[in-house]
Amino acid sequence: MSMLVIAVVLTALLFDFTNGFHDTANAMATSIATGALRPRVAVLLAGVLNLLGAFLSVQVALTISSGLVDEARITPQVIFGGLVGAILWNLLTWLVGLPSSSSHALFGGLIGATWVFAGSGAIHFSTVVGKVLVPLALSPIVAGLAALGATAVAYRITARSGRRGVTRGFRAAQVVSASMVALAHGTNDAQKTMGVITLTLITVGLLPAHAAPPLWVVVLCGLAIAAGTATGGWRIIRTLGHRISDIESTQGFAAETASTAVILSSAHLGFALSTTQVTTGAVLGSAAGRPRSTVRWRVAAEMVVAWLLTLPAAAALGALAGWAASAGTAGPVLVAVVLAVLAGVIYRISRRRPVTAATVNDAQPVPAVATPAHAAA
Amino acid sequence: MIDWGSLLIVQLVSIGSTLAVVVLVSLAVLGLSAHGRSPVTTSARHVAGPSARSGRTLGAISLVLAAAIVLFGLWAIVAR
Repeated sequence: MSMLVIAVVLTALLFDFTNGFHDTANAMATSIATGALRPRVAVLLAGVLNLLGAFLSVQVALTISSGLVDEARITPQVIFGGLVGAILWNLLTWLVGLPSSSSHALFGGLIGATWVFAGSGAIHFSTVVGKVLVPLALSPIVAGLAALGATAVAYRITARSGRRGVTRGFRAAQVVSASMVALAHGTNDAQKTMGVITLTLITVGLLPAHAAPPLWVVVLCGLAIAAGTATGGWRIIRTLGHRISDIESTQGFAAETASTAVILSSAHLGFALSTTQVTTGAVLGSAAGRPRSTVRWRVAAEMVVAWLLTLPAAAALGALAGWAASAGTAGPVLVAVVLAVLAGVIYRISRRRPVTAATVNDAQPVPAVATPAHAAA
Repeated sequence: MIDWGSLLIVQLVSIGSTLAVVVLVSLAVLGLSAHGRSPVTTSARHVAGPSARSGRTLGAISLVLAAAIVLFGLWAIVAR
């Protein structure tokens, strides 16, 4: 195995780590916000379950390693460039606390780098549309509708019970539902990095075409995403847990159940969707489904803008990094140095106003607007 | 090529299983929180919640059914 392949594998694992801490919020934001779990306990639990989830399935990994791009026409440098683009976009959106999609970032980076290096003919657009883009667009809507309906039904069923008992009951249930989201996240997202590493090994002939990820790849990806998750992306946890709406435990449980159902059923059939978009859609749905709820649509609109920007922005970053990485022996070194410098700058900026486990539940004053369906209630 | 059949399965399974699990857990919360609760009186009618014993039974059955749905889902994924 050449140094370049080792560098690509390490960069893929670095992306997996950023994917973990960027997406900790997906599983644990509402549980932390409702007090069902203490912040530190929540992220550690999420880390362990992400690791377990990585071993559940390889269908999504196969979609990525054997379907998105023509593995015979790209090189490890191209994959390296795509990963660098995805990592930079993940770090930028983490800095501003936006729950954008790590999956979009990865696919965008990979597609952008491939396009610049080998042309659009090396991209399998039918797979990109059928297995990635359509599920990505549908999944947050389905999760939102499922969470909206489930939240409304849950409030109706428990309407005559004492709120204290209901809150306590759903808080206990949230420990399980949040754990299930973490498991689903590990299943879906760790596979994306497995797919990229497998694709790299195929491009250099270390694995045959259409091969499944080897066990060592599965183990490393599980460990990387678990470590990232356990680090806790507190900025995005705060956004998802507090800034969209003030979430109650009933809503948190409904949102987490909907997210789990959508992510696991999609992963089972090889659809590489965005867990971030699914959980955000579910949180929005549960916020809208609660009687007399308030949804901060301005925050939701910011997220949708970030969703729309992620794929093209990561593609542009990936294209630039892929082009530079393909320019001789010094190319990958230059790209790695630029990545390290920019990551250091982003980290230093984040330290000016840090968000930690101790401050994650300090809600920010954001104007709230009642949802139209319940505005008069 | 878009596999609309598989996508439809994902939508139906997601919405169906979410509603089923949330309804069952809500019934469990309703039943288990019935302990020591007084019947609620509204202006129109007298509404009695479940007694403590029947509440516990309802809660236990609902939880078992919810757990069965979750475990079946996991089994279906792992078994593939």
